[in-house]
Amino acid sequence: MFSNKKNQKLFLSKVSTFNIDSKVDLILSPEFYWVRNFDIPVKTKNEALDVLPTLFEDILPTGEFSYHVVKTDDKKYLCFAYENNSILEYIKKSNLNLSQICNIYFAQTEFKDINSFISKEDAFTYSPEDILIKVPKFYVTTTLDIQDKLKEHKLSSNKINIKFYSSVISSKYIYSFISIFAILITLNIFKYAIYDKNISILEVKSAQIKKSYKMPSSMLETNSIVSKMKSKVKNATALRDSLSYIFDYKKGSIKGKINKINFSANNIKLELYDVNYNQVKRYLEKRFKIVNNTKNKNIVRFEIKI
Amino acid sequence: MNRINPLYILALLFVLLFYSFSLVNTKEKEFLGKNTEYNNLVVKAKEYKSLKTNNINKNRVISIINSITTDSRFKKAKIRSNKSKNSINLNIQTSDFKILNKFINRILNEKLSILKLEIKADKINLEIGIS
Repeated sequence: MFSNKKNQKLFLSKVSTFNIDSKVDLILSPEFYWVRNFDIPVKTKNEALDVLPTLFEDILPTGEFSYHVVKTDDKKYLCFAYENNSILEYIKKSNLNLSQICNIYFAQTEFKDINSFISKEDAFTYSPEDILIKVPKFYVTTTLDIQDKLKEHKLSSNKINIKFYSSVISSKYIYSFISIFAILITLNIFKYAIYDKNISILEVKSAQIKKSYKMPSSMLETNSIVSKMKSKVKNATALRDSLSYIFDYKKGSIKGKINKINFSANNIKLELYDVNYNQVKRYLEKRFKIVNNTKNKNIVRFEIKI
Repeated sequence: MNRINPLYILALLFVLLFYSFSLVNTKEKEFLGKNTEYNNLVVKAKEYKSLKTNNINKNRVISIINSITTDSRFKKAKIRSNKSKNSINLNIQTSDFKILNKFINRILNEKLSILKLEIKADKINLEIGIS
């Protein structure tokens, strides 16, 4: 109501031009739409809208049409078909900016109380079927210019939903893509939430493991301890295996005996008595790296690295 | 709503979709990283537990050495032990080769951290780590 009082009302025909900066309500001349009374056996306007493309099929030329329905009686509907882009085009031609437009109405539903009227060089009259049509000016006897009537005219509630944009791609396809994108975004939100939850679960589990195994809090410290312990085990095993190999020297058919074994810092110093130097050397070389060796009469010394 | 071109909404959703894929991808990588970290932790925890169980602490080393020095098989030999901060020196002296042989076998079969070892015909000296 507030907007109706405030906005200027304009009658738009295909030849209209305006020089207005304020907000306006537009009433479209019959040139912009096709209108028919149809008996449609449905209860609601939305149901009626679904069948309109079929009902208008034989009437409309080729093009992309939008539809509007006004219920007049039980199962009787006043049906409109219009070309959205064509209306936008003529609005622009009339010097109006799309941002100025508040509401748009069909003249058909606005001037029922006026039988006929003129606008510039055009004349309009309601037919016997109660449809507003454009007729030659001489056809009407009235001199009522609609421009004079508009100021005091009270607009109906039959606004139409014009799309204030034109698009080369059909809205149906755009909305399909929008739906697909929205679904994918929703799925991604769910995936994100699931990953986030699983990360929290893993963090809790990690903390539990560290606690139950009495591990240090940082992995760096754990790795250092593990590596230290491993090194101890490795050294102990190496020493055991090395001594076992050395003590088994007789299995290599080596005569003589071991006088002294000295182990320190991964090195073993051996002192053997009355042995075949070359034979012992070959035996030790099979397993160890000989760091140093000396032969003094019947005493042989080897230093090996384990 | 009719004033907003759905192509703009489509473009906005496309950007949001791209951004959501990027966020999910980052989160997925973070999850996979955490999962690998967790699996490594499980393996490391088992290894840590096993090594900790097998690792000899100071008291256990002392207990082993006490049981060796009081072992009746080495009664005839002269055994001395000397404890320092980080190690224990153990010395056995005997002219019986069999006792020395049993002693070294016993030492090597225990889980001890041998730092130094000296084997001679009539004695064995060794230094065992306790830290």
